[in-house]
Amino acid sequence: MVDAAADTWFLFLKYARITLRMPMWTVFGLVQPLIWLVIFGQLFSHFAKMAGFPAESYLAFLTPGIVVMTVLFGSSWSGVNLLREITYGTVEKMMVTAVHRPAIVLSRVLHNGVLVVLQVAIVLAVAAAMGARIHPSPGGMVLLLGVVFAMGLGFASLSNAIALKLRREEPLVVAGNMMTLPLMFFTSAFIPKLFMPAWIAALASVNPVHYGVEASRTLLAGQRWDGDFWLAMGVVLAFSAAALGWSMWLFMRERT
Amino acid sequence: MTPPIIQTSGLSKVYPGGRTALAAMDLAVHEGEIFGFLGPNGAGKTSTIKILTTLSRPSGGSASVAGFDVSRDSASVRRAIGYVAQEAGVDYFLTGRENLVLQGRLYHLDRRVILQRTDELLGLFDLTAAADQLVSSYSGGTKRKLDIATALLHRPRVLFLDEPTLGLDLQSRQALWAYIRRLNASHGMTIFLTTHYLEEADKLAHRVAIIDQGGIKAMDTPDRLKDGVGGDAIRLSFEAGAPGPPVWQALRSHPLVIEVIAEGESLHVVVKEGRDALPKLLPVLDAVGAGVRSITVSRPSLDDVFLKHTGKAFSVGETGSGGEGWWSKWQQKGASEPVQGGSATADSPATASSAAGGENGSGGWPQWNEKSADGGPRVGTEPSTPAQGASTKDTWPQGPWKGTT
Repeated sequence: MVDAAADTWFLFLKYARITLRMPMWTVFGLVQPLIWLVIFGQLFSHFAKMAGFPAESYLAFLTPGIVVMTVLFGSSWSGVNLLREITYGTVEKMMVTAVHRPAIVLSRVLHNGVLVVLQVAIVLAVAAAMGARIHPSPGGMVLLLGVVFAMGLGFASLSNAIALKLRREEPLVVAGNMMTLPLMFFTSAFIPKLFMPAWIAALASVNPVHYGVEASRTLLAGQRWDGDFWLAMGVVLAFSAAALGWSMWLFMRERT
Repeated sequence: MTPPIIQTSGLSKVYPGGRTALAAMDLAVHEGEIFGFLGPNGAGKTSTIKILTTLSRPSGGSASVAGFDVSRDSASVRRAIGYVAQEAGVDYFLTGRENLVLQGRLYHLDRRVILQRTDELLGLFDLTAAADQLVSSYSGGTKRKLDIATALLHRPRVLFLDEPTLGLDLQSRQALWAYIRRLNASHGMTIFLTTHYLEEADKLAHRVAIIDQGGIKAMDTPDRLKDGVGGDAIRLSFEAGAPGPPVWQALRSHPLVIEVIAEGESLHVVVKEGRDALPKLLPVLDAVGAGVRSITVSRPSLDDVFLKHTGKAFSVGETGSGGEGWWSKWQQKGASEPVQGGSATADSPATASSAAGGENGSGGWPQWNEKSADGGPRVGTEPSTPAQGASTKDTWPQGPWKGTT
C-alpha cells in the first residue's frame, strides 16, 4: 500500500515535471475556452435582460460553463499521451518493473486533475478581469476546485479508457473533438435549462457534464447548497469514480 | 548442476484470432550465458520474450525465470529481470539522470542507493556528459545505452534484450556488443537477446537457438551449429606466389584434408575442423618448404545453419549483414574475401595456431575485427564458453564503447 502510493507519487511527479517543462501546452489548452468566454460573453450579453434569466450578467452565467469546458478540453489529451507512451514503449518498460500497475493510470489522471485546476484558476482570473461578478464563499471556492479536480480526473480516465479501446491516436483526437462540443451543448453552460427545447433539456438531465456545470454555477454564484446541488455533486463524483474504475480495469486487463 | 535460469516447457502462444506464435517450445538457458534467440521477423521471438518478461501470458505450457513461474509469481520474476524492448522506453521529456532515478523509484530502492547507482551507470555507459540533457535530444545509440542502463538499476540476474541493435549504425552496434559482453563477463549476468542479425547472434552469443514459425529448429553454440553444416576452409598464401606440386601433393594426401582448390596464387584447403587441422597441417607444409605467408580460416555462417534446419534461406532483405555462405561465394568467384588485421590473419605459423585455437584461450575477448563484420567469411576465433568458465577479470575490450554516441 505504501509502495503503491509511492509509485503513484513518483509517477505523478514525472508528469508534473514534464508539464512544468513545457508550460506552453497548458496555455494552448486554455486558448479555446478563453475564446468562448470572450466571444460568447460579448455575443449574448443582452441575454441576461430576458425575463426569468437566472443570473445578473450573461458573463457570470457563462463562466461556470467555460470552467467545465476547460476541464473537457484539458482532459481529452490525457488519452493521447497514454497512446504516445504506449507507442514509445514507456508503458511496457514500466510494466516490467516492480511498479504497482494501478499507479500507472492513477498518476496520469491525478496529474490531469491538478492540471485542470490550474487552468480553471486562470479562466476564473480572466473572467473576473472581464467583469464577471463571481462571488463564491471561501468554502465554495475550495469545493469548486474539488469538483474541477474530480471532473479532470474523471474525464482523463474516460479519455484513457477510450484510448485503450481505440488504440490509435487519430480517431481518439477526432472522438475527443466530436464529443466535447455536443457534451457542452447539452448542458446549461450557455443557456439556462428553462430556455431549452424539451428534448435538449431531457438530454441534459442525463449528461454528467450538465451536473458539473450546475454544481460549479451554484458554487461560483455563492448560492445555497440545496438538494439539487448535492445531487449534481453526487452525479459528478459517481461519474468520475466510474470512469476511473473503467480505465483502471481496462489497463489491468492489458496483459494478454 | 544448477537448474536453468530460464526454462520453458511446452510453451505455446495463440493470439486471439487464431494466429499461433509459439508451438510447444522447450528452452533452457543457464546462468551466466549470453543466449541468442535468432529468427526472422515474425518467427516468435518477441512473443517468447514477452512471456518471459511477464508482459504476455502463455496460452499453454509453462515458463520460469530465475526460479519463479512467469504466470503464478510474475512479481518475483519482474524483480529478477531487466528488459530492454525494441522501442527505447525511456521518457523523452526527462533527462537521462531523471529516467534512471525514476526507474529506481519504481523498484522501491532506497534514495541513496538510487543516486549512487545512477552515477555509476552513467559513468559505465559514458553518459555523464549527456546525463542532464533531455532524452529527446539523444541520438539513437545514446538512447539505447540509457535504456539498457535503466534496465540495470535494480541489478537484475537476467537481462532481456529484444533486438538491441535494431536501427543502430555499425559503430554503435559494435559498441553495444562490447558492453553486453562486459556485463556478462564482469557480473556473470545472464543475457537473453533476440536478434534477426545472424552476425550478432554469431559474435555475441555463447549459445544460439534458431527459431522459425514458433518453434526451435536448432540450439547449440554457434561453432557447433556451424560444424554441423559441413567443413571449414583454410586459405593459404605463399611467399613465392603459386605453390608447387609438392605442396599440393602434401595437402591432398593428408587424411584431414577433404579437398584442395586453387584460388589465384592462394589455396583453399577444405577440412572438417579448421582449428584442429591447422596445427597438424603446418608441420606438413614446413616439411615441403612451402613458405606460408598468411593463413585464414573460414567457417560456414549461421545463414547456412539456418538453411540446413529450416530448409530456407534467412531472408536476405532483412539481414543486410548475414551474407551468403562462404562456399557459394567461393563457387561463384573462386574466392572468399581476404581477411586482414586482427587475429584473423597470422604472419607466422605459431601465432596462427594460437589464434585459430582460441577456444582454449584465457577467456579474454578478442578485439574487433572490422572485416568480419561485413558479412564476408569470418574466422572462428571467438571463445564460446559461457562467462562462468571465463575469467571474470576486466578482459573485455574497452575501446569500442568509448566515444560512441
